[in-house]
Amino acid sequence: MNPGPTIRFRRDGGISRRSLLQTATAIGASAFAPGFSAYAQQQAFKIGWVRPTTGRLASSFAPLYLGGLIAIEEINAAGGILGRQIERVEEDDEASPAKEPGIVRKLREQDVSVIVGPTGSSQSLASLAATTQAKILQSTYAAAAEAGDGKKYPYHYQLMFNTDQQADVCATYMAKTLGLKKIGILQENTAFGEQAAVSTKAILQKKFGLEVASHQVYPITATDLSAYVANLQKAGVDGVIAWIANVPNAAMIFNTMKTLNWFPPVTGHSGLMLPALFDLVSADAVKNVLATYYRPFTWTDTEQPGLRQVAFAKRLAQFPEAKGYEVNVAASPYYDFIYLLKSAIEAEKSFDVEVLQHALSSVKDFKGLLGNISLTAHNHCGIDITDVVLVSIASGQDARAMGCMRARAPNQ
Amino acid sequence: MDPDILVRGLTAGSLYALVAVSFNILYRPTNVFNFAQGELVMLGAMLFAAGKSTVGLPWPLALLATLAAVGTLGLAEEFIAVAPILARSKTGTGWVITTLAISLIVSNLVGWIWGPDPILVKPPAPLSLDTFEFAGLRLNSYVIALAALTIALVALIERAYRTLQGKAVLAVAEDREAALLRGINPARLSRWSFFLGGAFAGLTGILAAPILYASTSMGPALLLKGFAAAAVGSIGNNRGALIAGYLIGITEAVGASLLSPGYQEAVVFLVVLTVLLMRPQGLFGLATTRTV
Repeated sequence: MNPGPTIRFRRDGGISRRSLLQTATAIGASAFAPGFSAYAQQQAFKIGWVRPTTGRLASSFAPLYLGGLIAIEEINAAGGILGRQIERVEEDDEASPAKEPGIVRKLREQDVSVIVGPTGSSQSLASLAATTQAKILQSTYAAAAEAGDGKKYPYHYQLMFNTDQQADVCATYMAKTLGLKKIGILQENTAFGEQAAVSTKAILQKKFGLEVASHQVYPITATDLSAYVANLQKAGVDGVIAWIANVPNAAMIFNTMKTLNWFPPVTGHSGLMLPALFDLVSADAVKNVLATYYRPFTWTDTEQPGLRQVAFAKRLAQFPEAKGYEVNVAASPYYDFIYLLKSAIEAEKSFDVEVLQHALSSVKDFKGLLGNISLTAHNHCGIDITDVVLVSIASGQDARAMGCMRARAPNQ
Repeated sequence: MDPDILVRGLTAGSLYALVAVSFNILYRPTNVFNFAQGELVMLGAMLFAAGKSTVGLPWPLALLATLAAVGTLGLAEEFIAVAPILARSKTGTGWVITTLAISLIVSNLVGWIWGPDPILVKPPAPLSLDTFEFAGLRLNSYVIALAALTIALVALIERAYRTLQGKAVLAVAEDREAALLRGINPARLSRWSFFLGGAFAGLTGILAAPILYASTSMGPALLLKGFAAAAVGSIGNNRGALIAGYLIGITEAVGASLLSPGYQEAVVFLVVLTVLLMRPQGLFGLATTRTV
């Protein structure tokens, strides 16, 4: 293999002017040589890997990157992308939005033109401001609908359902499938909760002409959430759309419902599906709770999950660090992003960012793990709403769940 | 008005009061606010939960082991993060940064060891979280015991300040140099206070765990309102902290029940701000004059 032009160092570690000129000439000459393209192809294809390795969220965010790791492992084992192995360039963002612009700058200096991560809507939006300007292709784990706006962030690919889609599925289930008229919203006071609640209200109003019967906003640091649940009950709501993203809050809410002996249908975010919840609440407390998820990872009496998804679940079971987080790992966009990128590179036979951006923005029916992905210049979310369904969170206890499979709700 | 507001207020208020008292224990002989106190509360809950569920220790043994461990960490914090700062200058404020650093270290370590999942901690038998109705209130035996224990602990600590050692602490709080001239060793009292303050924070975590679940997110949730209770009740005043804790807890419960979304949290801080604007020394503090 051609090792490529090399710089000769002096004994003191410095570089002489002559050596530098010789090397520069060699690089210039080699660019025109037939071996150059082969040489370039042997270079690893660098992908920035932004995640917290320190800080409070490090342990909970680590498993969310496993899908991406599996994809890289599979691709590298099969020979890489156009002969180039994928190499991750790790950066620790401490899950802090303030760190993101600096990290993007650092990765840019290392000639990284594709970034996976960060995770979290506020971290992602902070990163997107920098990657858009630097024209870096990126996929983040961000549910905010804004992150899927291809006009605003032309180099970002969301590849997961967003808050608008989740709100649509939940509102449609309550108003159309169950025919409920008095629907309440219970949301945490975070950016996610706020966006999801705004979308829910708009969809209920626009699609079904319904006003929300009671809207409760709770602080995630509250020591007691029973007042918010009691308010919903007092308002006489017969269905609750709950935007809850953390397990202790969810446990407090469902335990309060049990105390009040009030079990309305509840629909909400996929975060409700974490098995840790079952250690804190009894099964009957969550019997009417449904969460948004991806159709290919669900089963019904007549349908089984996709074969590819079953294979993924089996692969995931080999990672002890994924235990308890299988749903979140499966719902991560990183596996599909790496394969989508590979597909675009191979189709275009190019690693050029502009070429790839153009190719990715016109993808049609790419068979992703999470569903069929279609992108346009405007829509960079990619997930079709028909692939977003509600599942029973109690089915996580079923033997068929395999960690990341769930039973689809009726009429979904 | 929903009578359950009172129960919710007393439950939350008890926890805020306990955090405020743990602040006071450390503050009195040192004039230091330990910004790692919230994480010590969280560590207490996590250690206890791990001792109970993972190791299978009985309640009393897990309790003692947790108090000893968190107390020792408090002591280590004093050695590493506070004593060197105070040795340079008695009025130095470098401990703000060093105690925050300890807070970050504890939070990272706990997250690394136990992960983000909350752990269920059941109340010790015969106490339970099962609710029953009494005089129109929805209560459970654990909440009653928590409120009673909080009041008893505050009374016990106040009594401890009447002992010789307690008076020495008060003397140091009053005038460190004068206390030193009277043969009191402020450094020794400072170490003891950090040990006891740490252990008390651990106990608060244990008592909070059946209600809030033991998780890494516990610390920040309790730190802010516990600090507010300490400030409203007058820094260093444990009876004040108890009353302020309940005031904040009930205000919060009323806000959650009656106010529109968005104002529920704000009302707590509005009350705190109003009290501190009208009485900067807190509800139970005495205004002091200082020659400058």
